[in-house]
Amino acid sequence: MTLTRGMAKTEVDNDWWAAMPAPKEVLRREPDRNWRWAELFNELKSKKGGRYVRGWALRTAEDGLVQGVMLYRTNALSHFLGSSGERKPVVYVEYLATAPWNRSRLTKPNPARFRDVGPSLLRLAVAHSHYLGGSGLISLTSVPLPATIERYRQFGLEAVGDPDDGFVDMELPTEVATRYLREMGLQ
Amino acid sequence: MNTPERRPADFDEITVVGTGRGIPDYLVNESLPDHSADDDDLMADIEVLMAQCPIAFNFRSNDLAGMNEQTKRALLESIYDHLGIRPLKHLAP
Repeated sequence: MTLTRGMAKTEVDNDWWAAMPAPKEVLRREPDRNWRWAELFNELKSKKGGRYVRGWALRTAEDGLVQGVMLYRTNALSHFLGSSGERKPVVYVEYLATAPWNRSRLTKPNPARFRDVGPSLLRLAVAHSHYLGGSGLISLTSVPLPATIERYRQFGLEAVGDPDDGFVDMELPTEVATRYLREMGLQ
Repeated sequence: MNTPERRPADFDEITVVGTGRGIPDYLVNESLPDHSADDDDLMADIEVLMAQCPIAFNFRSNDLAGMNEQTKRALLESIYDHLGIRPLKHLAP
């Protein structure tokens, strides 16, 4: 469902971390531990191009809990030049996070409650890109950690460009986007 | 690219995306249509897709025991449909 600021504040910022029994020093290592989704939402919406920002939440029906959230913009362009010298539109994922209880590293020795939440949100971005005429293309920026980059690579994202600021831009190649669209019955 | 059948065990460990840096300015186009006028229809389309596409959006629960019976049965039915199998009890004698 569409993410609202109110939902971000009450159901993510207030609820996600308070519910976790893991030790504080373990939780502190999570890169998004101090993110405030309501503020991230406000910041992106209020900046230039804010009208292109969309937010999503995956909520499970049986318990009403938000299992993952994502903010992306739809005014981004591909890193690759097409044959006519133009860049295709892409959906650029600004922020994505799964609920802490869906991260196996935080729930050990118990399994994460839901698997595949993060990739499901990325596939949703692929679908939105398709609906907007972007051929299912999405991109994001990764921290320069090999394990993180490898996980995005497993989804099909490829590193693009020549990073000079320590971050790694990644984009879904057309053929991979097409495969996801076929899986979703959109092509 | 990993097909659904060949996804590695840690495929679902995409748990956080976001550096705060954003996309480079030269890859932003402020003249693209923002489709905000179509938002309701578009969002409705995507939500229908989410409901209809088990491969893409029915993320898997490790906590079947915690689900109510109706939800559990619906989830298992969608898994059986996707895999093209039926549990033994559904087979005719």
